[in-house]
Amino acid sequence: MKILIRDVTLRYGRTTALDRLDLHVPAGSVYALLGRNGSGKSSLVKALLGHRRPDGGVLSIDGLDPWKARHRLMTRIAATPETPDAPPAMKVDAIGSFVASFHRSWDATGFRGRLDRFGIPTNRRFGALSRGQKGLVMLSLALAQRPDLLLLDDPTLGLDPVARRFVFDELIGELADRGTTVLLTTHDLEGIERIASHVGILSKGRLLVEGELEDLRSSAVTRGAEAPTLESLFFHFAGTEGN
Amino acid sequence: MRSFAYLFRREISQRTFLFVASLTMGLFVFGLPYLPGSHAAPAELRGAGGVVTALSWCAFLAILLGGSIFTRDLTENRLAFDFRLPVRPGAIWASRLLAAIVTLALAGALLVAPSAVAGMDLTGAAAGFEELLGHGEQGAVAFTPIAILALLLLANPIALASRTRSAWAAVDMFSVAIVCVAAYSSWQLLGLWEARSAQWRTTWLLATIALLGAAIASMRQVTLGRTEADHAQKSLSLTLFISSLTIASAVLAYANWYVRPQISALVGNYVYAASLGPDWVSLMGGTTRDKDFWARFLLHPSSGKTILLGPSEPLMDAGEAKGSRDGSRAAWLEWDGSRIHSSLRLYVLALTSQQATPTRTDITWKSPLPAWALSPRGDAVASLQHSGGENSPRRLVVENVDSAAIESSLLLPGCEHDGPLLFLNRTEVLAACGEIHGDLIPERWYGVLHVDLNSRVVRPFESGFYPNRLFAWRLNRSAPRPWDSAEQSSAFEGSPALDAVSRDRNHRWHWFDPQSKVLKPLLKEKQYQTGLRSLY
Repeated sequence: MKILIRDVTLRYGRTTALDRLDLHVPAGSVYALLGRNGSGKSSLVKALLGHRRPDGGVLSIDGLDPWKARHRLMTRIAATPETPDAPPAMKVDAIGSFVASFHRSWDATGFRGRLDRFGIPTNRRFGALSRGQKGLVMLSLALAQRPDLLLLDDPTLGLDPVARRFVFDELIGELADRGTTVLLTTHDLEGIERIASHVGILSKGRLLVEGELEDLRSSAVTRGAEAPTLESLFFHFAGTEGN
Repeated sequence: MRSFAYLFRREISQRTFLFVASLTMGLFVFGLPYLPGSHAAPAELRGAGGVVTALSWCAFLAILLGGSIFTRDLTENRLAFDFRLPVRPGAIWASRLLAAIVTLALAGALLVAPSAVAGMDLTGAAAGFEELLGHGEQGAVAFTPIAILALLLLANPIALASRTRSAWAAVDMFSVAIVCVAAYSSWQLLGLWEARSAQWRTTWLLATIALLGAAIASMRQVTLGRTEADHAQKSLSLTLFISSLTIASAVLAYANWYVRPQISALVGNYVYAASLGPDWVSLMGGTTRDKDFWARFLLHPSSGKTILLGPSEPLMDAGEAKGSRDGSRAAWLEWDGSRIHSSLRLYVLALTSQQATPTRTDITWKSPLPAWALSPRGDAVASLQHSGGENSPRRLVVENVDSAAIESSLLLPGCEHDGPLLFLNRTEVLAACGEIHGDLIPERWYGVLHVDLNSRVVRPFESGFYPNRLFAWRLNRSAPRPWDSAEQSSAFEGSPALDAVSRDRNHRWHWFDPQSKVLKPLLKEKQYQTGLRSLY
């Protein structure tokens, strides 16, 4: 699935979260959307999930408007929120069964397998899990849907190093198996560097730079950057001052 | 539909503890008669205890659920979980709302179930509702679910406003104010016209639209606001505002339409018709609006012109329009201002002109006014007024219609009960003093006084007057006064209404045809029904 964003503006009162944003996520790519806190990453994910209608511009996923066709798109899209939000009173396995009932392609074996690998007790209430465990449950739910598009809003936020590795390992496995398109916002530049094919850097709701990771590296080297890591690219393009 | 069912099932299954709590309380109510010190009959105790506990518990749950099913999950960022599922926003809203309603119903049922199995006597509870609502079991059956639903729906905007603390809450308060003002205004207007049925109908209309508006507002909160609290608040507040405007418009439009019936709305069997002169007729009676809603019209039969008279005290003489004996002027009373039980103002109409319009006079009387009469030429009015307490002697006051100056004011000794008034001529008045209850002969003092306005002499008047019909004069032809007047209110009993005032002066007799709803002149006396031959 491909994502096309043209001239999209999104405001919260007087604050402009996205300012005439243009962005393109090719089908089959792993797009890492980088930016400092408050740069508009989560707002973009909300708009892509159809949770918020943009104040202007055109936003489409495979030609469909996520605001209008959200319920249709969500059969092919899975997402993890920045803050895990499953019903706290439900047990983990009950949450799995509940979400499974909405998805015909539900991978029950994969769901249980991931929870086992992550060491998450399935008979515990979601609200009783740690922050990291909740995040991993949300990722397991998303991957078990066998989506065509994964929208991951800072999936490693609050995770310990082991859990962070789990996340990226699972993503690598998923990509190898199915070739899913991924749009991912993160501050974990080291982790995402292993899997990202495309990178976009947001600042104050505007896209500073966008392109394939290798092209950006070449461009940075040409412009005198010393080490073409994702972190150095981020600092090169976004700078170290306010966003 | 499948998605809706899954969401609904999840909502219900998450509330198992509420059902267990309800059943536990039900068992407690069941055990009430076994508590030490219980002396009432077990079934009655369970009935009253079960109803009170179930209502309190359901009201508490309604507020709790109303404040949480949409708003708590929204403001605590948990509604997004449902919005990542392939379901329509409407299904999310409907499943949550329906699950809350079913939860309330189940909780209430589980609470009363143990007592119901053992036997409940609801007589005491029904009596309580009778006291509270004026309707016993029927009122409870109709009122309780609506009240619980209202709590459920109204808790949502309150909870959202308190959680978002948005400026849109001011719009919500404004919306509530609009509804309150509309409700108060329509109640006042309908109350002024004594339209009791319409008042209750308006209340139901208001409650229904308000609940519908609150439900639609919560739907738009979910479907348009989705996971954004500020947008949800805006969508909710705007919808509530539009709903409140709709409610206010509907209620006010209904009330204003109700109190302005056409003359064709008069129901024939309940119409009292009286000629006011050669060309005008007064019609007063029940309408198709409601049996208890009476309207008063002046009709010019040859041109079809009608004048709807304003609201007035419906009882006694205050509700009647009167015509001067010379046919030149009609007079009637209307409430002065927009509040009932204040004062009554006299209005007059010149009957000599078809183009005449009602004129407001400066004469006002305190309500309740037992009796009043128009002078033969319409230039003065006489009224019987209270001189003190209820049993104090009545005072006869004669006022000039055009200047509102008091021409005479006389205390009528012994006249402690109200009766009709009649001008024999410009300077002589007959005042009946007594109390009439239907066809019964009153037990208290009863008689007719003759008042000479010039000499201010009051003396008993011998006549054949007796109260065979409410509000009816029937005078003995052998009496010394040569006037010829009789009024018959037989229309109250379903026959055509007639007025025989001064028929020798070419006044026409009319009757109101219930089928065609048209006032028709009676050409021959033969056309009267047998029961009306007693008219003079």
